[in-house]
Amino acid sequence: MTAALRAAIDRAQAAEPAADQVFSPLRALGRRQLSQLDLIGQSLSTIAPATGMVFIALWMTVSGPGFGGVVTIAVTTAVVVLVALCITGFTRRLAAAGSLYSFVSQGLGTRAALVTGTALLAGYLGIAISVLAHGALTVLDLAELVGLHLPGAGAWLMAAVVLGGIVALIAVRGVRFATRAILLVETCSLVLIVATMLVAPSGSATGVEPSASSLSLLPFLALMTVLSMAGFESAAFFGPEARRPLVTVSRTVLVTPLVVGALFVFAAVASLSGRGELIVGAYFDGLDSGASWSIVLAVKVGMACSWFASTLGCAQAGSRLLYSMGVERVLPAALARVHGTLRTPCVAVAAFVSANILGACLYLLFLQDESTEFDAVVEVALVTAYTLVAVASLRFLHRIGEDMWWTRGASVFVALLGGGLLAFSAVDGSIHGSLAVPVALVVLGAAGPLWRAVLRRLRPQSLATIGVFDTVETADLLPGAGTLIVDEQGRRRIVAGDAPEERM
Amino acid sequence: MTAHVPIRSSEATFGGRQPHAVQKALGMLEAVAQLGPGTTAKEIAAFAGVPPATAYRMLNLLVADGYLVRVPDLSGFALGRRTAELAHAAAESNPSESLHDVMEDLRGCTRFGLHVASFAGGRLRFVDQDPDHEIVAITTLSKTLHANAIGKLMLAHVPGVCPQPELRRLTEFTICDRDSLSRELRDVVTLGYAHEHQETRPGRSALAVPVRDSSSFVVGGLYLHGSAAKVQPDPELVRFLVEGSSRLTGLL
Repeated sequence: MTAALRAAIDRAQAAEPAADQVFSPLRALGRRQLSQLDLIGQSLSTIAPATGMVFIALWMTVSGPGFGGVVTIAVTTAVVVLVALCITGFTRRLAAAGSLYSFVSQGLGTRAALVTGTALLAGYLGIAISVLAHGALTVLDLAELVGLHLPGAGAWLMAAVVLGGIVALIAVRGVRFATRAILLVETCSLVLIVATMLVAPSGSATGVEPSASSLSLLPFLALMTVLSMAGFESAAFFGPEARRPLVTVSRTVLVTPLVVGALFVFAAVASLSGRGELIVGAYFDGLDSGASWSIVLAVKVGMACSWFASTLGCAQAGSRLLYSMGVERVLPAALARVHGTLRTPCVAVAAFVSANILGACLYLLFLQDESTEFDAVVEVALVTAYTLVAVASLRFLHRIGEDMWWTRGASVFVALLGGGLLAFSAVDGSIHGSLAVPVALVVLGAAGPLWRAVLRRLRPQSLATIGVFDTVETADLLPGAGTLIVDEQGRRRIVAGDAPEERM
Repeated sequence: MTAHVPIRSSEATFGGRQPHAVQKALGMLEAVAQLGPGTTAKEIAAFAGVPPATAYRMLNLLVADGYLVRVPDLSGFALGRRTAELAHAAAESNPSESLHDVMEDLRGCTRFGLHVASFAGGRLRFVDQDPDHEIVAITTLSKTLHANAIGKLMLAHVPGVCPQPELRRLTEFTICDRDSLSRELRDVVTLGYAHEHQETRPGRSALAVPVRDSSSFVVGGLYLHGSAAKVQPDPELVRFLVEGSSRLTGLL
């Protein structure tokens, strides 16, 4: 062994334990609980690929984009993998409960971080609202299939509240329990959907009419694929709770879009050969499609499970974002409260699920039949977050001097494409008379500076804490190799030798 | 946290027969040791003579495994606690399971805090602390050996270690009477474990069992702590600790 290293190890043996320990700001969460499998479960459930496959099959069957549709989905998957590559520039180097929000703050500062935070909240809450509402409707369909007729808006709302309540209970019960439960649920529904597509004969055209979009078909299909893959990066919210997070989270973020993209391409190809019609008909038309009772029941059970898993995945991810913002005091500090024994962010879970249930009830009452603009806003929010994280990755890796030609290339490509897609969506939406996308973009763009101005006035100290992540602790350092201190500005630093006289 | 394993002095050196990746990794650790905390990835790559792309990938792996840490602004590196294990690796041609690995495994089986202390040199020193359950006021444990399980274990097993002249009362449960303490220490030897019931902090209890070296001498203790309602010397918990400590034999 070489001289300096041996000397450092010898010093470690003789060193006294540090009297004052500096801890990670996120140590209240249950640490090192999630395995690689748990993280994949979290990602897959948030995406709910089974539901995405059915909707892709629907659009491929009804709108008939042909082989161009398959290519669009494959290319969109490749782009999402590039976004994942940009995100792993962060996940290989830090574990943060705020995910993209915390990552963007490392590269682009507080304004962009708050824009990303707003976009992520809008995106995840939007998906959670949509999937909970669909879940409630599917549960009622199932009840009707077994002869339990529950008419009226009251039954929808009650189903949404009950499903939301179960989601909150599981999310508080524990992150590992929740991720394993949702992996099991999602795998079952996925097997069911894939098996149905494989064994189904080429059927007749379905009578389902999806709600019309303001966008042209292929850009719409691309955005829908992005929406269907939303949450592929949700493992990044669980870095502080994962084992070997820098490895496992990065692997999950990269592998998930590849797996889901393959499933989506499979669904699109199956639909081209007419094999998607049985499942689309069974889900959307029920027994009227001519499918047998057992097929309709199986498809609806699979879809209900998938909607439920997605709601749970979003609640888990969204609650970590709220928790992170609570720790930073960007939102009320109560959101940073953690359950005493289960070590889950119970207040943040309650807040997110409450908003989710309320939103789902409003969605069921007012948007059920016309959700295109709602979906467009969610898509725009997510694409904004992904675009910003690509730019942030470029800046961050350059700042720490670890950028390579291919990381720069991926970041620039994703940033240009994301920016272009947002601009195109805004223009295309305006041309088709839909102002939801341009308005959403303006609101998102204004949210960061506005939020920052409010914080500067009300809680200026919180601006210095934005971007909190699982920082190194005194116990992680080789004794004698440096001292971790918190300086007068509240910044953590590692200094050589013993600590100077500063606040610890 | 202090070093997790005993640092064995050895003249063994890493030479040309080691796999190339290990040499590169050691070169990068040497760079951080030489250049000090805060050394950037570029500087490490240049010092170790490793291409930047390889260096960045290996640095991320070394950080993920705890051999290096990133400084809080993420732009540089410092030596991590697991670097100490390399001394052990250098001395062993076929290294066995490390103390830290065993402890991580044991921690996965309990919800209580689990720590290992060394009694080397007649001094109580924690060598592997549970990162999820810190010991509040850890420095006071070595100053009030009579009031905590690991201290009582040390008093009972290590010749020449005596209680402090004044048995300080920390809570209403602290044993401050020398005769009672002597009886308690005899029980520690007879029963094979030490129990602390709210003697250091109200509401907290702990158990400790001895950790032995390969010659069966007590060289440290395995310390478990948690809420007073849950940490009791019930047979199952004691068996878990005894079995755990037997896995640590010879590793301290």
